[in-house]
Amino acid sequence: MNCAEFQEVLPDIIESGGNPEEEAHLKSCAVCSDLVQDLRYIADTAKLLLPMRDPSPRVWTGIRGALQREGLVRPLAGTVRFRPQAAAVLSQRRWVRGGSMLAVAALLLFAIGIIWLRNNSTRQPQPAVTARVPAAAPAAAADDDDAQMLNFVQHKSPALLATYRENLESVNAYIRDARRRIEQDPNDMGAHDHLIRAYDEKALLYEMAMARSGE
Amino acid sequence: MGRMSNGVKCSLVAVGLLAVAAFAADNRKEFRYTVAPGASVTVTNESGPVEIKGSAGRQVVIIATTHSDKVEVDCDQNRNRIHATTHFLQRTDGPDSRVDYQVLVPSDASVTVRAPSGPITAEKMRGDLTLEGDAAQVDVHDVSNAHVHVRTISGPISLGNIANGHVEITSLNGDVRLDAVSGPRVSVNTVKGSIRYNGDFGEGGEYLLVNHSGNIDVTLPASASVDLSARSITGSVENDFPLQQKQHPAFAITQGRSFAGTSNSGASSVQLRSLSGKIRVKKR
Amino acid sequence: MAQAKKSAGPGLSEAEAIDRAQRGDAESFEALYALHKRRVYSLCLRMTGNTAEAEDLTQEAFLQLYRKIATFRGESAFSTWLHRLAVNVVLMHLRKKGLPEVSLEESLEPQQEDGPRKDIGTRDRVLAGSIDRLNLERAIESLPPGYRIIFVLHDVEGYEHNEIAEMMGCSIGNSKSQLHKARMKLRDLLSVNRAEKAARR
Repeated sequence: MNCAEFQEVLPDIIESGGNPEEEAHLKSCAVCSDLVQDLRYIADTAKLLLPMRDPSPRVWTGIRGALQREGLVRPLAGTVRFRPQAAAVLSQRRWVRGGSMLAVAALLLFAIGIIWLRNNSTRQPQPAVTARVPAAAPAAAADDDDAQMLNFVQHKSPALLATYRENLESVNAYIRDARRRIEQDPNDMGAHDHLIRAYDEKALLYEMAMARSGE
Repeated sequence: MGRMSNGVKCSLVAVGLLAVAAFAADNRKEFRYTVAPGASVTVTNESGPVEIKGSAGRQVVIIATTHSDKVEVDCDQNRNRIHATTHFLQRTDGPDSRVDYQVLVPSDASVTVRAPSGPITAEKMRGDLTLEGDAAQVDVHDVSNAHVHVRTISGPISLGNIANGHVEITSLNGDVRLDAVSGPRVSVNTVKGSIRYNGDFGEGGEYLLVNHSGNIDVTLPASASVDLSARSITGSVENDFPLQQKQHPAFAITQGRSFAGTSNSGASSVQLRSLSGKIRVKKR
Repeated sequence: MAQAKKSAGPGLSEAEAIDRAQRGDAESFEALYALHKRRVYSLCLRMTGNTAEAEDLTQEAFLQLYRKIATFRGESAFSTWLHRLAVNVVLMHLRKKGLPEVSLEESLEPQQEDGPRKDIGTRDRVLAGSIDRLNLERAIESLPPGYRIIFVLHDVEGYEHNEIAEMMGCSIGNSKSQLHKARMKLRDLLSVNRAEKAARR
């Protein structure tokens, strides 16, 4: 097999590997081997691209106006507080495929913890909430995640390590205080909201750390 | 000069040479682009200040000054989008990595800045601002009819003279100061940072100031029209602003820990929340 | 905390938000928007390469979502459903604009200007480890629209060729061929970019 024949079938080889003859050519030909390596590298790097940024808030203003004009909503005033950081992470189904990035995996685990928490903590206050909210499920993984995040910062921006470490301690203290309060009074919705905000702040810290990748 | 000692003369010469060397290492580049209304400008600068100024006209002018040959600045235009990015040619830290940006944009442009060390300043804008910096000090003033989103880890944030703003500020340990900031929605979240608000909570908006352990200090004039509630779960609250007590506050009022009431027609909703910090509300 | 004026709790789960939005609850629409806006917008921006268009399309995608949300029965994950809807909104828009997507008649034969044959016999330095996120984003922006769409759908968003073929109304082979050409084009763009950088040093 020569290079021209090999490159003719290249699209399929990239997808699903080649037959023995094609594999043999790949091993013996540096040009084709470099090409395959580059194309796979481009595809793998693309899988790690994150959602870029939020749309201008004017987009929501436009949607809200249209919803009201079309009568799709009941006329309720006010807005719901939202958490784009954690939400954006969770909506990344392909992140799971980029398993080589430990820090990404850590962030994903962390985000799952947030949603787990959110789903449980937003139920109506009842005694069972005490057992659900401050339980150890996200906490057990949190220490490992924190260590990985700090390792990541140390690798990418050593000068900022102290800042991240200090702020991680602060935000973990916020989480602990909010949990303690919820244990004392499971019906204190203010404390529940502080806990969610504390996790939002932690998500911000992780997101800022991850934003350093590749820069 | 004649009485100057040789030592002083040598020092002056050395300082002069150092200054010349420093000046020679500086490399100032200017990029100019013409854009249509609604342009978006993004600046990413790993180290060093970014200044954004809104202006009349349709030009984006980016002046970038590098201080070593270890970094370079890439600017490009793709339709109505301008990107300016600092790239490292060699791994470096400290002053060598610094690039200073001065950016002049049409005041209606949307601007996104990511500058971990900052400082970041923005003024005279009508377009949306999204500003992010890990340790960056962020200062925004004279902005109207715009969304202002600021996120920092430890950098202090100061906003002044913001009208009809949709303001969202999130910081971990940065102190936040708002002077004459009003609009339909103003929200501030910090962990240890303190929050100071000085203004009238105008425009019938929703204002939400929240932190973990820092102080929240609010100063407002007697003319403010607010429906205000404050609660610190384990900290304390103080109020010397005249409020009419509400019949049905959103939470049980505990002396020294929470209060709620309205003034004038109660047009704006103001919620002050801390977990363990001190909340103080004062009349101006 | 005391979201005194709000009927929904601050931490609405997605399932709850969908359920309430199906009954016309305004706040739940915003909660769903907040959860998914970044990913939908990024998809629109990468596919069109234009901020203003991407914003318009994000708005249109969410409006269609809200118009159809009552029909969502949970057969697939909500995010998958929404994402597919957003892709269709973008493709419909591009068809209306008459931009070249993927030619249905195009064969798998590599074309002179795009095909891989020009690399035969010459060995470039490999790209591995040399491209960062920003460079790749810009190279994607520079791709011709037809290539960009397939590349974004397959390599960035993770769609399979059969799904792309169905969405774009082309054959699976055509989708594979266009993806290959897109990656080749990106390789060229990234190599040039790297060479320019090296020359400046």
